[in-house]
Amino acid sequence: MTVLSETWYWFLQANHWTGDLGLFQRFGQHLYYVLLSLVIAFVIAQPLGILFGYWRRGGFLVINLFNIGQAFPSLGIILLCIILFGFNDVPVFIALVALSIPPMLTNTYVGISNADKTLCDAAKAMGMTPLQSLLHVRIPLAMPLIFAGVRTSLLQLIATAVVAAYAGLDGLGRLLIDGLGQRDYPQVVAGSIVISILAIACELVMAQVARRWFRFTPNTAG
Amino acid sequence: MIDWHWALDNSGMIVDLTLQHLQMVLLSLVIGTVITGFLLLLSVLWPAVSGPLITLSGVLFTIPSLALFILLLPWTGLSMTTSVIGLTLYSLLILLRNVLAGMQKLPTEVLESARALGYTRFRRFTDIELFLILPALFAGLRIASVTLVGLVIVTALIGQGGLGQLMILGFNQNFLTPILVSLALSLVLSLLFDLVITRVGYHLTGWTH
Repeated sequence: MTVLSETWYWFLQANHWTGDLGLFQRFGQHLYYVLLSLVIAFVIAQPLGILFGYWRRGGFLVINLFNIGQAFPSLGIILLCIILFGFNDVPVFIALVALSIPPMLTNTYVGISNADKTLCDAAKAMGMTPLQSLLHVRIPLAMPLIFAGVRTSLLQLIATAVVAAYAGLDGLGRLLIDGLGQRDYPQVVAGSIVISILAIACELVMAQVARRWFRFTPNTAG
Repeated sequence: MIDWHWALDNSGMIVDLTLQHLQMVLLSLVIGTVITGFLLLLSVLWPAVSGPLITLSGVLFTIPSLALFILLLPWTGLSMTTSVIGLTLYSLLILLRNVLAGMQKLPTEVLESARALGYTRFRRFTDIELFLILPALFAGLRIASVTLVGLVIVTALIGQGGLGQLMILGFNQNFLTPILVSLALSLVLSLLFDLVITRVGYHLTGWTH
């Protein structure tokens, strides 16, 4: 139990919050890594998901990619990338991006390829070109699922960026990895609390956004 | 790419770590299943409990795995107990979600016949519902087992970790073979779990096919 009170004192010290190694700085780094990887993965995954979903091909590949991605441990992928591509931040980013592509790709694929058939036929009957029907019918219909994919990837990235600290990445994970190395348990527990709050806050915000934006489809937005 | 001599020389250690990995996943899955059963019974006897249970498990599931393990440190230290408790929590969340969803999709005509036959709420749960939700339970067990095989790796960072130890070793020595071996073995383990659980589930739920 002493660890808990020591953790409380850890939070009370001003130099743990500000400065180069402070919580604010680490928090910012963590968000930066997560958002950067999310944006890169988004730019890669969404066009592919839309394309495969529109062609209704490669479904087997996409779904299996997702399953294999789930089965591969993230720590292993990160360490593998480091050994293969050298010791710096770029391989870690490659791993983070690679790990966050499958959830988005799969959700977008399912959303586009399972868009309501009657509405797609109606769009065709109204004289929409295939591109128009994709842009104005299929993609809007798939939005709740596309958003759910982004949400899954975001949460996964927050967690993976923590583990990536073991491979040298900065961010909140440093508090955990360095603290474990130095047996500084108050710091480790404090870092875990901050990370948990970050993850839960992101999840709550995303849930709220989904509820706001996709009120027309309450069942798929969750 | 793979140094087979190293793999052969260290086969004893590799087998030990694989077994440790298996042990942690099995322990957590079994304890998780038992606790899921209890929580399910609780939500059957007091239906008001099931809403908060889902919310709570959703929140817990959001916490990144390494952080969750570390939040247990003040109580159980850097031990296997910490890992098993954390892994059990994760399996619990997955199983509970599946099982509670399964409970909502039970055929009403069966439940109403049970009521007409004079089953008490408790007996209806133990004699009828418990069997009818088996498919949902096994679907949950499949997801949970694959997730757990991956999560055990993370516990290498708090000194446990089964095959995760091999990854750390390979990383520290800048040596590719242990990392590839542990990736391959953890993939095999999750496939194995998936296969066995699917088989057992198939035989236990004969009425569905």
